[in-house]
Amino acid sequence: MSREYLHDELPVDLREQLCAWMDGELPADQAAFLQRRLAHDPELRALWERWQLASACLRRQPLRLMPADMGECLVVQVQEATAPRRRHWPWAAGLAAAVLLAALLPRMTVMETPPALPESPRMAAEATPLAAPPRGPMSPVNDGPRATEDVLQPRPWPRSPLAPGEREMEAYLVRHNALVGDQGLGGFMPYVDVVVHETDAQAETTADDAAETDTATEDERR
Amino acid sequence: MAAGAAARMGEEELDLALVKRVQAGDNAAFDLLVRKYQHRIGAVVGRFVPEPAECQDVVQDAFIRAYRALPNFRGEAQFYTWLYRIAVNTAKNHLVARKRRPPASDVSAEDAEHLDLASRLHDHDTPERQLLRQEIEQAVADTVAQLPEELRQAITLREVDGLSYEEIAQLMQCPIGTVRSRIFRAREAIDARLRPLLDNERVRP
Repeated sequence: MSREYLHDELPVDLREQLCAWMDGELPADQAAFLQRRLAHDPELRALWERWQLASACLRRQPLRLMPADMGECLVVQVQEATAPRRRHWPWAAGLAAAVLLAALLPRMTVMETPPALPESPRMAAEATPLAAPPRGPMSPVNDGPRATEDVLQPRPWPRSPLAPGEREMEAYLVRHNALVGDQGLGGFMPYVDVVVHETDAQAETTADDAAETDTATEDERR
Repeated sequence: MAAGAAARMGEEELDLALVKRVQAGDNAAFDLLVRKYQHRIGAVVGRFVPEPAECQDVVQDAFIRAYRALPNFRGEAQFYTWLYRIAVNTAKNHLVARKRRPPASDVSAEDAEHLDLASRLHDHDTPERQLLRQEIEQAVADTVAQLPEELRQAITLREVDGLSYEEIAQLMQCPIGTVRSRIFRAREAIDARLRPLLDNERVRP
């Protein structure tokens, strides 16, 4: 017997267990351990295959030798054929999402900007920035002196570039009033007064609530 | 033989245990079933599809069909008998698909085991494969012949007569543990001869 080909890498007790398991003579607890070991030990599986081949030879069963890697190839094939689709889904979905994002990102960036309207340099120049509304006691957080300082600084109010200037508004109102009067629909609608009064009233209310916003209100009136 | 039938029952239970593991999603158990039966299924398919490469494809196809059908296997028949039928049907379908006529008569799995001589008279395997198989069979026979008497008797009673360890222990008038050890040592001796042959086969292109 040539000892050099005995399995130095596999423990003897493991080989003995495999031998008994092959004959259906291994206790259940040891069989469970052995099967777990078999699942992760290719050398042990190869030994199983050789012993099965020897067994078939001893029983004089007809044989036709198949390629050595047929078992492994078959397992790979059935794993690929039966693998859950979701196993391949995450990376495929990620790839698809990345491609979609790359395709749509430029459009999304463009859509975030306002519609491209013809700019009017004159109107933009005449658009006077409005003072920011005073920051009242809406927030209970006391930001300290710096927060008060920020509130005292007048900030430009965002204004639509389409909003006309005061002169254009006055001209529009006069024209509107004249047309309405001609058609017998009533007299002049003091739209501007109402707006002014409301602004003043709002500013006064805010000033009552927070004394530090008085300065900002005065700036606004100016 | 009733005692042999009892021992084979243990082997069938082992096949059934492997099948249940495959049904539970353990593909390593399927690998063990393939390794156990691939050469015998190769001989079955080879009777229908002699050409070696074609035969290998059909054997692979048969195992894949068996894998897909395994969820429906309930253990009412022996696993090998069930696998044998799948292999025969796969081979026949393969011939029909290529407009070749399959054999008129079927051979059962049990009878096919006794067709050894007839099948070898019409062996269309490659010369290298035929030589390797002959070397393997010769190595096994020679090794068993050279074994010490108690080892040779134990392995013969187990493999050829199909006795259980308990039955062998009664016949040889020794403890079951001794039977287990003797069978193990006999298999180790056989494997020591087989392994270099198969390792050479693996590196062969």
